[in-house]
Amino acid sequence: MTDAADVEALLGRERIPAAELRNAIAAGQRGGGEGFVQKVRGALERRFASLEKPPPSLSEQALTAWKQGRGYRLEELLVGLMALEGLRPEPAYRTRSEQIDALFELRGRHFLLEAKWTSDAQSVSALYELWCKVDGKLAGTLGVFVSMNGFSEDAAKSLTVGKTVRVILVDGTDVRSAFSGEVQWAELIDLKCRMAAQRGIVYYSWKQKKDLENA
Amino acid sequence: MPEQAERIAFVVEGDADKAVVESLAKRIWQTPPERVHTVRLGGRAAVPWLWATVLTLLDEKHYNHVVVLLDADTADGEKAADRVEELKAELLKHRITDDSVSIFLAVPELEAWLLAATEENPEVPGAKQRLRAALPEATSPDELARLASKLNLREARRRSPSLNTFLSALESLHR
Repeated sequence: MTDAADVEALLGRERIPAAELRNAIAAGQRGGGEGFVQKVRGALERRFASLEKPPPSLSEQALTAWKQGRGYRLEELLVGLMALEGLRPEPAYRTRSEQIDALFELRGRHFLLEAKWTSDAQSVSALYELWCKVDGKLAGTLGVFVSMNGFSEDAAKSLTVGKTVRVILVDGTDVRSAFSGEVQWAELIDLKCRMAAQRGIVYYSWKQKKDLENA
Repeated sequence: MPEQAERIAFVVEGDADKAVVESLAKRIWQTPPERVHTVRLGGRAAVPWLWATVLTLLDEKHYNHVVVLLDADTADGEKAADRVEELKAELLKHRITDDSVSIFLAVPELEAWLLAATEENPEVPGAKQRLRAALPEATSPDELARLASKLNLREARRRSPSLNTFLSALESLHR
């Protein structure tokens, strides 16, 4: 049986083995250990928090490597979060022509995930790349683009001009809300799909929803 | 702009903007309006759908006036003014007029307003970096709110035209 300590040990590794993490979380949930979900959620939150600031006194070269690596760690942690919510995530995989950062399912719909943690906002070309990946998949599949430093205004708008909406956007504020437990990942994706369906809005943050509710 | 708005909503990008705007509004309005609320868009990517946020506040939440404040992301005052007109035109497509919404851009970004306490000409590029270099702790919303609450407004308004425009509008909106 897997317990929360086993999951925490996987999360403590420098490179998190995403498939192993997913399987360990699934096994732990079947085992029904007391407080398993809460403990794993806490461990995911702590590991995510460790990515927010680089370790002190890294050389310039090491800092660059650390920054490159945290994009992968983000992908792996998102797989953990989605596994915890029973969204059947598939960690990063390659096809002949493309790399998919993760796949998950929600209410029978499949989502391809792209995750970036770069210093700049994502541009039109990056979003269009995901749009094209989604375009070649089963009808009804959607893309979720996660960018910790957000998206340019033009990039977001470009997803809706003259095209079917196939990609929804998640930024750092949303990701932080999800890892802090303020919102479940599934609830966040549901909200975004609803806004995209209702009004063609491809970026609508959890914060905006809460602020408008309280207005 | 209505003569006396009693329900005023701010729309800003994030936590830092919310903290600064609320702190400044408290100082400008000696008697606060009946209701003041701030909505954070979350990120810049939400701006193309600003109209939806404003409409929700006006039609569903019954605010009399919505004040939008964003970073200009340029130190060029003319470009910033053009951007305001573009945003207004976008709102007008959804029948949202100047009577119910005011749009302001902090030039080049909100941090320049706080730098106006110490810099003679804060509306030049790199305000965020300069504020961080001068005050490394000035990244948390609480700290930014504290700075805004202590800002010498007279001097800051003289040094930062975009701050002056924003505060003058708040004064006209509610006395």
